[in-house]
Formats: sequence, C-alpha cells, structure tokens
Amino acid sequence: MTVPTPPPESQGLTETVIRERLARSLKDVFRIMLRRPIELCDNLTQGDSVFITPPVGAGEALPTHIMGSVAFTGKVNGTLNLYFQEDFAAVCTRLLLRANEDYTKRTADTAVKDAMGEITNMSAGVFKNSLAAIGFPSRLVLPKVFRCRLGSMEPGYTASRYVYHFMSAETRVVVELLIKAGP
Amino acid sequence: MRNKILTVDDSKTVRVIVKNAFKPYDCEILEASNGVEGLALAGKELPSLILLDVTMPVMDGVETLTKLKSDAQLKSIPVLMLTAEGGRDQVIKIAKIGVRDYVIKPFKEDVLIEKAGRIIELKPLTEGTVRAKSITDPAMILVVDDKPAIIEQIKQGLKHTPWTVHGVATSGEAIDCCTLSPPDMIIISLSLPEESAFSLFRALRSTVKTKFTPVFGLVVKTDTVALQQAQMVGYSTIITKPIDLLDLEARMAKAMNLDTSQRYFSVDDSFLTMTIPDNSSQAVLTEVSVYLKPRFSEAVDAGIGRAIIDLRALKGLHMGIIKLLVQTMQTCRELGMSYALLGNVQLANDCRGFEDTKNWRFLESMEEARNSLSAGGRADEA
Repeated sequence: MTVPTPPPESQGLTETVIRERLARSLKDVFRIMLRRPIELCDNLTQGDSVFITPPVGAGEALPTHIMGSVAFTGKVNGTLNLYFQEDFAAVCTRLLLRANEDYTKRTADTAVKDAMGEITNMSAGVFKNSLAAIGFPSRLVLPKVFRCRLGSMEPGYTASRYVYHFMSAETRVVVELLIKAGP
Repeated sequence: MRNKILTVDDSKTVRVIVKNAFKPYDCEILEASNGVEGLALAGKELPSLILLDVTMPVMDGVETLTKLKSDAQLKSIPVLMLTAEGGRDQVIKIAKIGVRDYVIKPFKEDVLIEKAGRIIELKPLTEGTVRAKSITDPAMILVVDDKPAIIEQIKQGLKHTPWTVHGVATSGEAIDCCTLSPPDMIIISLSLPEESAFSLFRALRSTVKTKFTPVFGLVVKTDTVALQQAQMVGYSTIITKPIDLLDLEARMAKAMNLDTSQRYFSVDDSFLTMTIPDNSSQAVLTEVSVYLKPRFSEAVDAGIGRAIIDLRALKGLHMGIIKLLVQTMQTCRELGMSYALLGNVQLANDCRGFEDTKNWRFLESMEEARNSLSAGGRADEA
C-alpha cells in the first residue's frame, strides 16, 4: 500500500513561502548573471490548465520553447521547470555569455541549451538553498533541457504544483514547480 | 611563471563565463567537463588553482575533491568551489574535505576574481602580452583629495593630455569608483582625515583590480612624517606640493608604462623626424635615448632612410644634448641613414665652442632639411 505523501503546506512550505523564494531566485539569477530584471506578474492556482503561451489562432503554429528542468532531492523533493520562448532563450544566452548574435547562430542549439540548463540550475540552486535554510536540505540533480512546442500544461502530478508567470523585457517566462516533502 | 587555472564544470556556459572573467589577467584557463577529466588534466598540468563544480556527470565535485586531496602530487593545489550547491550542511561537508573558498552560483565575475586573487597572484595583462599603451591613448586618473582646488589644479595641468581626471573627496568614494571602473592610476592626498590615505592604500592593494595600479601620494614637502609613512607602506611615488605639473605628467606616464616616443618621433613623407623639446631635462634626454635605436631601426625596416633631427626649440646646448646628438648620428651611420640637423642661431653659436661640434651645420627650416636630404648625403657638417 502506498503511503500518501504529505502536502508541503503541512510542513510549513506554504504557497507564500514558495512564491517569495522562487521570485527571489529568478530575480537574483537574472540580475547577477544576465544584468536584466525579471518580475513575477501573476500566479495561477494549482490544478488549472496553464497556458504557457497566449492562445494562437487556427492554423497558427505554436512557438517553440526551450525548457530547462532541474530536480532536487532530500528532505524536500521537487523539480523546477523554466520555459523560455526560443528567441528569448537566444537573447538570454547572449547576455549570459556577453556574446553577439553570430555566436548563438554559429553554435546553433548547443550554446542555448547549455545556457538554459545553467540558468535553470542556478535558479533551482538559489531556491533549494533557501529551503535548506529553513530546515529542508536537498541536493541538486543534473539539469535536463528540452525543446518543446506546448500550448498548455495539464495538471495530473502526484506532487504539489505551482505555476508562475514572470516577465522580462516584455517576454513571458513560465516557471513550474513540482514539490513534495519527503522522503 | 604564468598561472594556470583549471575550471571543472559540466556547463560549457560556466566555463566560458570563467574564461571571460579571467581574460584581463595574465593566466591560462584549462577546461574539464567532469571530475575524471579534471583529475587527469590536474595531474598533467599541475594548475595553480582549481575551480570546481559539485553537480557533474561521471564524477561529481565531492568525489573529485576527495581524490584530489588524497593524491600526494595534487593535494596542495588550492581548490575554490564554484557551485549552485550552497546549503549549509553541504558547504560544511565540502569545507571539511579541504577547500580554500566557496563561490555560490549565481556569481558576480568580480567576486570570483577577488576570491581567486586572494589565493593566487593575478596580474593584469601588461606590455608584452597586449599592445603597450601610448601617451596618446586615453587613461582614467583618480584624484582623492578633500581640497577641490588641488583636484582642479591637476585637472587643468593635465588638460592637454588625453587623460580624464576624476576627483573625489573621500576614501569611500574612491573605493566605489575603483569598484565600478578601475582607474589607470590614482593620486591620493596624504593629508586626508584620520590617516585614511593609508587605509585606502591598503584596501587598494588587497583588491585584485587595483593591486598593481600605480598610486601616488600627494603631500606638502614639510610633512616628512606622512612622506616617510607613505614610502614605507609602498606608495609608487610621492609628489610634493606645490605640484610641478610637468614633472607629475612625466612621472605618471612612466608609472603607467606608457609609450611616450610619439612625443619625440614622428614619420611622414618618407622622413623620420626626431624632435627635442625646449624642456630638455636629463629625464627627457634619457627617455629619447631609450627610444632612439628602436624607432630609427623601425623606420629603416619600413623603408625610410632619411632622418631630420629638429632642435629648433632648444635655447642652448649642453653636454647632455651633445651626447644624445652624437649617439643619434652614430645610430644613423650604423643603420645607413642620411640625416639633417635643424637648429637656430643660438645653437650654431654654442656649437663653435666645442671641439666635437664646431663643424656641425644647422638648417633652419623643415623644407630646407627635406630638400637637402632629397638631394642626397648628410647635412650635418659644414
């Protein structure tokens, strides 16, 4: 028989705690590494279908996204997924590496994927380190990066799920956090 | 020996950021994408410093560090952790294995350089590794003095140079300024309140960005205590008030290791012109003498075989000038260059008084000198 995992709220990891720490993580990484601000603009309730991109018209192709995903395991387990529109991912890569457009063109996908993995890794690091400071230590797992063309993310996870929208330079960055207290 | 820094990180992005951060310094960056590669490269290259990530495939940072510290050949190499793993327990666990410092991602490049600079000596790239800066290049000069009149005097005195003088009144402002954009040289008044000139100097020398920046002290001649104290702490030079601005400029150029040859040597229309200024102090003559052979040789290499030695600004002749001119003529002969002397009546008269110079002939205009050289032959002797 499977013992149900206690929701993180019961352990003090309230939505407010998570939101504030997640916002701080993204802001720190963008400010320090990309020298660009990013702001939390709204959050959506758990269980909703969440549009990553605004709905597109019939026949229009959904924009491609680069998704960085980093898990952390320990007294708290979770996965942080960041969704960047492809063009914005290239811009962030250039900012991170202080490179010009030629560089991201020349290195094709490789540089952008690696940079998005690192941005996600740093964001997850700051977030999980802040949880360690309040009694939930954990360790990072290697980042994974995917290219995806999704219109929405559907609920259906066993862990608690939080989705937040951030804006940087008028571009939306979607942040999805799956989290459960454990082991 | 040039420092080697090994960065071990599975992210190429981080390795590129590290490489860019150390670019202004004289060091070589070696890269490895995991612990196994890192250990192999460390054994082969014996780097001066290792920057180590924690979360990596194949072999993670903790295992890599443990192996490093159990290897007799490698255990003394200092390790600086550069990782997103910043939980207290994790940091303590890693620190116990033996690391010199810990930088948590996201990180500012300045912080990484500062921490690395406390472990190994990081020298900014200088002559030999990059093109030497010239007297005609812009430079940023920071003057720290609580007396605005002094700052203004220095600004005015250097306004003919391409240098920008920025004045601040306190050591706090000076540190902010250096953090934001390190100047090429700094002048500090030794009479700043509460001996802050000395604490500021120590702060500048403990920071990688200003560790090698020339720092001049500024003091009234009679304040011998401050003067001696400044010499003891290691100020590059002490300038006494009232300020001799010509002397200050010359010392600044020397301290910044600027190529000043353009003041004395120029090339146009197939002629090399060497100009001796009116303030031909021994320092100036020495400076000209240092550049003499290289500049004349460069001209010959570039196909220029005629030199004009312009002495018209001089108000008289003395032994220092005569020695320089003899050296110049000798250089021309060795290099097979023809030359002409440009001078004035006073110099011609002075020349008659010396055995070695009594036959020297001076032309009076540049045009005359060019025509004479174009006609062929040397134009120095009557």
